[in-house]
Amino acid sequence: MKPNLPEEVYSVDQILAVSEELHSYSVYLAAQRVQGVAGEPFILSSRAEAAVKRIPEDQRTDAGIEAYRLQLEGLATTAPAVTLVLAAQAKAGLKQELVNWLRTNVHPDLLVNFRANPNIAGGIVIRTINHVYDCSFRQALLAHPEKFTKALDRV
Amino acid sequence: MTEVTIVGLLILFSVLVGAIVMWFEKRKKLNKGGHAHNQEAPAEPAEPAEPDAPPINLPELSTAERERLEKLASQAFEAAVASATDRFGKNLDETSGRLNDLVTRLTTGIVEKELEVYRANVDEARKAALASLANMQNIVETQQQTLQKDIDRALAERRDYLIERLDKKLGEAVAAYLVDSLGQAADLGAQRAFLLESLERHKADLKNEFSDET
Repeated sequence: MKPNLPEEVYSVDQILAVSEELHSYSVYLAAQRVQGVAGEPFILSSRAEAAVKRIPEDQRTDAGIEAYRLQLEGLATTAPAVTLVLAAQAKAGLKQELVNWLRTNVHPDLLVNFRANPNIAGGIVIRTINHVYDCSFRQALLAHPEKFTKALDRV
Repeated sequence: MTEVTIVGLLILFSVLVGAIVMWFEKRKKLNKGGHAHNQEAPAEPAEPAEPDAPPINLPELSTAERERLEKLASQAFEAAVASATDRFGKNLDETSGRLNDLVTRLTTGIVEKELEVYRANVDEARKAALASLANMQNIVETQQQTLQKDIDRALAERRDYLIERLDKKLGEAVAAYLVDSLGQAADLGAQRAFLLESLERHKADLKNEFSDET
């Protein structure tokens, strides 16, 4: 079964958190299966719930969930990752939109880490393992400083 | 006529004049000596005539007559010598004048020739000096132009460097101002379109990079 990352899970930290939650959930399901009695319902977070939904229904057992969890952890180390640096902490909606764009246009299992750095003034810096694509306002200003002088001439 | 010839003629002429003067002085002495001898002592006996020559019987002159004749002869001789001396003096003057003229002409000619050579040399030296001066002036002008170009280039480079530095500093100042002003309050929502556009701009690069990894 190839892991299929839910949209809401896009960073290594989130994968690890979901993995921990799924492990607890699989233990819970295993206990239920052994004891044969239904205990208190296990409440999953929205990310973990989205992850469980990615598992086919007939495999949503403790073993199936555990297998999926292990694959998720493996994905945390093998999936391609990118870091997006923004000038401030982005809201969840904007983050999700950027992740969706990347997974749609670049790679379906791309992991995205968000960082905030006010020094870039605005825009975005995209860091991969091999490259840095600096689209920040600071870089735009420093790349063409003569534009400011020309603008001053027009004032 | 060369200078050597002129000098030779002058020496010859001097020797000739000296010889004439010496002859004239000797003659005068002889005349004086002979006259005194005649007064002090009676005439010497005549030399014996040659045995073969027939004897000539000259008439005996009286003393007064002889003295008168001697005086007349002496006067005639002196007159002749004076005339010859006068002529010779005149000729000497003329010759001397001619020689002087000749020497003057020759000297003038030599001096003129030397002056001509000197003028030619001076002219050549002047032309050489002018050519050298012109050449030096050309070199100086070339050097000046090269130096001016170097200075202009250095000034342009310095000006460009300063402008670039000023632009950079201004850019940094503006960036720092924006960072200080916005801080954490940057409105990322307003940048949404710009962020997506930035991603779109590097879409191909990102795709290539991650396709290589997978």
